[in-house]
Amino acid sequence: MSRIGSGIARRLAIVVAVLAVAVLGLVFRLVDLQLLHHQQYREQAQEEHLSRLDIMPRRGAILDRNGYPLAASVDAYDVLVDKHIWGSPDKAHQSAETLADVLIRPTDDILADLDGSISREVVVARGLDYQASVAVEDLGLPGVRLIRSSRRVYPEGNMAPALLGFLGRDNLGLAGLEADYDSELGGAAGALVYERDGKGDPIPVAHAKQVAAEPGADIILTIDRYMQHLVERELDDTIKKHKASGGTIIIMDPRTGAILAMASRPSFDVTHLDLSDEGKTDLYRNRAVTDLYEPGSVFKTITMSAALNEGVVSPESTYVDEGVFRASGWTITNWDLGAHGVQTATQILTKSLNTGAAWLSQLLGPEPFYDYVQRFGFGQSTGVGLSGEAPGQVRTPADEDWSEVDMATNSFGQGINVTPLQMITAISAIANDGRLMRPYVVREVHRGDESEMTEPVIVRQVITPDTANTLTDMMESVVDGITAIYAISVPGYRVAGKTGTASISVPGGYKPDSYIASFTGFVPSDDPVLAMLVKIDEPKDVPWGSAVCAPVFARLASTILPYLKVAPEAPALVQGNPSQ
Amino acid sequence: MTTRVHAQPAAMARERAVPRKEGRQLSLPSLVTICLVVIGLAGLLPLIQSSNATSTSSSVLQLERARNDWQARVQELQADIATLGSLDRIEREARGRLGMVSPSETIYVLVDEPAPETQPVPLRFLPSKTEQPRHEDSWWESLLGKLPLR
Repeated sequence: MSRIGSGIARRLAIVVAVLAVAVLGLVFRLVDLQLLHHQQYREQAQEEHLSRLDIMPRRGAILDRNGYPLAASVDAYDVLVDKHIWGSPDKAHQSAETLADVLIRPTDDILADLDGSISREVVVARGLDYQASVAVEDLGLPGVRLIRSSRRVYPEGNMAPALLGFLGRDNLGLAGLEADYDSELGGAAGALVYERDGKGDPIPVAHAKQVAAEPGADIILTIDRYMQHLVERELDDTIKKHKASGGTIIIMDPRTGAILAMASRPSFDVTHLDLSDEGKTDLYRNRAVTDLYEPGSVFKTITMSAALNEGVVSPESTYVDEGVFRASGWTITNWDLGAHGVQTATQILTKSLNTGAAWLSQLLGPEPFYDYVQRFGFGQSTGVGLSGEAPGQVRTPADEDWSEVDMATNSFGQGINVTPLQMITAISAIANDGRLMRPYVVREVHRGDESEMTEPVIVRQVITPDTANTLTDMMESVVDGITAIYAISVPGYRVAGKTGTASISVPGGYKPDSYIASFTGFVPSDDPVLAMLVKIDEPKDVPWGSAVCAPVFARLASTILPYLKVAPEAPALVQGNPSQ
Repeated sequence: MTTRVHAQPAAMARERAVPRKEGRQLSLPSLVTICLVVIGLAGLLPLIQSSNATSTSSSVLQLERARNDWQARVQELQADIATLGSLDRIEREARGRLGMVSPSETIYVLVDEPAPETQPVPLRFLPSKTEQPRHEDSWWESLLGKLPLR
């Protein structure tokens, strides 16, 4: 009996030992899986089961001063395909065919996108609208999902493209205000991390963590869409009529520096962008702030301001115009090559005498002259806040190769390079009792319940109010003189302005038979509400600013002043019903 | 005689130990069945709760999706409204449909009335502001609110 019992006990012990070894093996394996390689398997599991979805914020809108949207974002949908779920080539082809019908894309293109990407999920269509997204969802194809994105819409069409700018594919601003205010407009992306099932759909009541997206702020501009519309149409018509190469029109409120309209040509079509065309890169800049030009006779108002403010002349001061002015061995003549004899300071402006302007600069002297040039804002950025703004080029006595003939030519706007925005800002200072205002185009950044307003900034008092008033009277005389020849009157309103016809500088000299015609002025002259610069580049038929640009000023002012509810002078008014 | 004397105290002891019940005594199979039913019900309760939570969560996801879709639709309609109010379209309609032309002469008429407020979008396109009914907590929500759990 005892021998049988010990045999059973031995066999039992062997079985127990085997079981114990097996259990130990299991324990070691569990320790290995759950402790030693815990992190590795956890990451693998997360990669398999967890998905991360970036929640793109809604991009803010760009609105005009009255709240009309110039650029806004609407939700769009991108279609993603999970290659692993589509699996075999036959199944992929079949699914791609079904999808291609809805996306209106060739099946082969869709398959090529999948083959060409190393990612598991591939975008096969972008920017679908709501109806198209519903059609894709109704297909119910496994492995296909929609993610929300956005696309930019332009309700006013191709209005102010160079100012507004445009977005890239990833909704980042690439040019214009879209780039300059990208952080404000773009908001902050959110994220959704969730557990997904085998089809890629989120599992309810499973792990999910969401950080909400913060929508972008809306930007409210100082631009008025109606004025912008008028300005762009007038600019296009004028360029076409005079077969010009381009042009710029800027309208500014001289009292605040707010830019009411800004248009430049040539430009691009923001509604039909083709960023792959490198030849069009040149069109994307805002020429009103980036392009330099020699302003010509318009600059005589700056020279006259300085002379009047320094008291070296009065409107009735006289000089003898012999038709030539000599400086540093160079000879300067008038635009008509004529000698006009005894002329008053006012006639220097009304007849646009180069010799007279050079005489004024000589009276002033280099230091005061360039001091006023700098005080009017030339040779430096205006601070408008638009990227690419050029500071301009002004050669002063401090420059090595400066000579007195530079000052003489600068006095009538040649040999000095300015931007259109600098020119209109300086003229606005004359309209604003001598106060130079900082121009601005963004009035408000609006985020939720918070608003960040831009307040008008007085840069400096350049000339006294008396000087400004005196110069305004002289500039009215200029317009009166032009009105006698060209139909540029603004019925019911007094206009102060100055014409310009400037040569175009090129390396080594000036371009023959090519000019930049311009007119700048403000209205009503006694209490200006708008200042305007009209600049047309290389008009082919007639080069004169008075013939090309002054009528544009008159047409625009005639339409805009009633729109701004600026009452004309009494004789132009009709009391009651004009038909009775 | 002796046996009878020993039997009576034992019987009495059994009777004291197991009180005499009126009615049937539970058998083992009945007891097991009752236990199984109780365990089953206990197990069914979290299952029902989990099922309700999953259904609710799924409904929430669907509603969120529907909400997002409606928001997208609203945005598209807002963009459509803005496009319909664009200057180019207004001019096209004025010239094409209404036969209007630009004025050749401007007549200024002084009207002694204040100008209307400018509206970025016509009022009829704006949603009417309806008063949302004030949400009042139910009795159990107000009870939960008193607890320091929220």
